[in-house]
Amino acid sequence: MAVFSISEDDKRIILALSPSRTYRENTVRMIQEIQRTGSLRIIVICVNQPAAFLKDFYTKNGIDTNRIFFIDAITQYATGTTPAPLDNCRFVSKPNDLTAMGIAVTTILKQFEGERTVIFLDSVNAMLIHTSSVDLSKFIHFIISKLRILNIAGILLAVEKGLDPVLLTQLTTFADDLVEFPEGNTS
Amino acid sequence: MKCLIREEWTGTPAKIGLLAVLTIILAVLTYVCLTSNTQVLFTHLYYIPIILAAYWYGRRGVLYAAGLAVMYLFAVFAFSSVDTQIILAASGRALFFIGIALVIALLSTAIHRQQESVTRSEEQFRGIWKNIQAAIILVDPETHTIISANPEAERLTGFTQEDMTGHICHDFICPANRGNCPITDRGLTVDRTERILLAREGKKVPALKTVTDATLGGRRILIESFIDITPVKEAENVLLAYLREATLRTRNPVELVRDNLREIREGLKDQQSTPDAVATALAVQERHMDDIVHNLQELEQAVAEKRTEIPEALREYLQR
Repeated sequence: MAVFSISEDDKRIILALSPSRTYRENTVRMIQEIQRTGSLRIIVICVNQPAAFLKDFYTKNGIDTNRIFFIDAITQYATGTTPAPLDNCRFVSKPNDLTAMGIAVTTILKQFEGERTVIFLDSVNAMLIHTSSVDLSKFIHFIISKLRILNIAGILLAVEKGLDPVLLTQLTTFADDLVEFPEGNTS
Repeated sequence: MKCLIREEWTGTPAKIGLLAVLTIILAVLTYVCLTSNTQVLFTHLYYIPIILAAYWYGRRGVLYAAGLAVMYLFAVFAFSSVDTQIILAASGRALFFIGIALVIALLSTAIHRQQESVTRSEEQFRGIWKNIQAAIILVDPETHTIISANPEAERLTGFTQEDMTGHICHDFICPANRGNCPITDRGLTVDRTERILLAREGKKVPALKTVTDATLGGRRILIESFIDITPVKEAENVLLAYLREATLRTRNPVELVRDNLREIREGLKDQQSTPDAVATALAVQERHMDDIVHNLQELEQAVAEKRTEIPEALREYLQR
């Protein structure tokens, strides 16, 4: 277990496990920590909550959303209509369309080529609603391989106790570091 | 007797041929001896075909002996001087031929019965040893060397009996270390206990193991039997995988949606989110719930399709 910290040159893949009660607070803390470095751009893959909702939430918590790009895989799927365009956001039609999601990640990374970037997957648990554990493992392996090739840091968010030991072992093997947030502490 | 006579000579024609030859020799010998007034000694040769016939043919052998006795008596009457003492002695010998044949026939019948019983028992044992669906390995408790293994043990371990025989069981078929044998060193009872059987190329076979301490042929041995429970283990793993997937894709996501709803409620209370954002967030949670229900249906269907013991009505209900 390690305390969450990140530097500009970080290329680690981090698996962050948070208790469900403090999940969002810990996410905010992590993004604030990333933004403290000043130059890192964050790409959030939203599967759990829509980008618009997260954007509002982050703004209210003092996060500069101009340096955050969202890949929203849930809004279009949930509402059934094409969502109104949102700044710094790209919509993917379905969260279980892992190919489209992979293409979106590749495209956005190309768009920010030359910039230091961190990929933020929110969350592994939510992806399991729409994808089997086998497909999820493959997708995460694909994303991590991509990040490693491009020397980009990545954070996989998951709710602690929301993953079974087999999947957790797989994710821990893929990741370089494991950050476990303690119960009832958001620091 | 079988050891003395070559296998190809032990058939009925060979026996009859031998008896016929011996009978002719005896007839000629009797004629020659009686005509030269020799009454004794040659009669001892009669015992050879009589014993053989009685041993081989039992009661029919006694009839053969009676025939020889009649032939001998006829020869005495025909070729020797008629003397009461000679007649009495010849009659005594003839009766003795029949008596010897009777005793040999009785002993032969008893021996044959015992042989049949032993053969039947051995055949039964061989049949069970070869066809039983349990691997049986006999181990010497003193040296821990394998004495014998049945074909099922060969199938289960991938080793031939020749590979196993004389080999020490530790690290070969048993994962226990030397000096840590659960039976001989730790005094444990292994009765239908779940254990691992080591097989060729390091493969581990889950098995129900029973070890019985027995004495066979005056020698103490351990009879180790193994029942392969690989299919049971596979079924257990399938069930565990099912439970795991069910938990991952239904229970945990429900908890996630619960937390998301709480977050949305708090967002509304603190006026953090715009009504549009809240509406979208709620639609997302609704969609999450739809997918969780869908996942649950998929898992139920998977169970219904795979489990044949599920009653038809329940299967239809689960597949609805």
